[in-house]
Amino acid sequence: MTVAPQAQPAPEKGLARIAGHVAAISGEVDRLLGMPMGTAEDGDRLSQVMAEMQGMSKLLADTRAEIVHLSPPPTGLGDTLDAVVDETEQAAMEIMKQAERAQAASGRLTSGASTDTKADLAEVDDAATCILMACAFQDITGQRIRKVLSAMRSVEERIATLVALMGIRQEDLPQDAGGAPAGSDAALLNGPSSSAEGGLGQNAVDDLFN
Amino acid sequence: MLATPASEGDRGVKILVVDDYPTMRRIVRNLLDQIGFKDVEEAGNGAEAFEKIKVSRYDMVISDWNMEPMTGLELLKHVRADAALSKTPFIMVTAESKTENVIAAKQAGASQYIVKPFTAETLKAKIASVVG
Repeated sequence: MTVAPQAQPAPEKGLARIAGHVAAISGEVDRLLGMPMGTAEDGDRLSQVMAEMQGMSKLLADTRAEIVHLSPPPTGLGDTLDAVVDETEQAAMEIMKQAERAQAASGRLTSGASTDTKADLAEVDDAATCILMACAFQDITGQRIRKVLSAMRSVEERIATLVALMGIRQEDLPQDAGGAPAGSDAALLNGPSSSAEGGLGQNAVDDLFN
Repeated sequence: MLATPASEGDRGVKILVVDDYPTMRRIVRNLLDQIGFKDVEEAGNGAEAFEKIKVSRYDMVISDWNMEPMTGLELLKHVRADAALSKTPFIMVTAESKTENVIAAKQAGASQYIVKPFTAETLKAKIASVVG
């Protein structure tokens, strides 16, 4: 069994521990399989037990292999998403700054307070160009998010394989795992919802509200 | 720029904008500025907002819902429970758009409910409806 270093993140440590247990059980089964056979009378029962133990051993070996593959990928997915949050915030700030610059210049032009019409028009134009350039964040963040999605899909597939391997059925899963109690304020913190998820548009909200 | 003249909105109305995202506070502040509300202050969550509301009187609160340590819904309940503050117009501006959210906000006494992302016209219409 490989002992996970202290500094490793919790999920990885947990996986390593489970993999270790599986390996230990697997070793124990192998040891039992290697023990000398009993008398001839016990032969039938023993061979049946042995067949069952071999099945168990194989299952444990397969499970262990799947768990080993579940270890988090080397590049931190959380860091990638943190970068997306930072980049979108920076882009939003830049776009707002430039939009406000354009609004100020256009305000001077509209109100007649402009002392240099040509310069103010150029300012509006320049701000619009800066807004266009700031929108390049979408390309970068899009690539980062796709990278995370592909890693998540691969983990999802491996978990599905593991669940199938262990014969876990839907009805074995605990009900209401970890969710906030229904009817509490915390249960109302759903975040953005698409219309498919039951999210309402402004008109539907107004109908409910007024 | 919105069609409303800058003079229309402002009647000495003091507004508190509560949101944990500075970008959203800046958007709301910009729109308020365009429709003539110049006296605008900001808070980053419900607890910070409630401290400000207790000290300084606001004519309107425009608040997000999902914030820590105090949510917009809790802030609304605190405001409605305080006799001196209970009549303050309170507009919820939130990405929470499920039926149960809208109903909970209405029951807690929200004056209006705006779903993110929203348009400048929606914000303007809802403010007009609560300021009268």
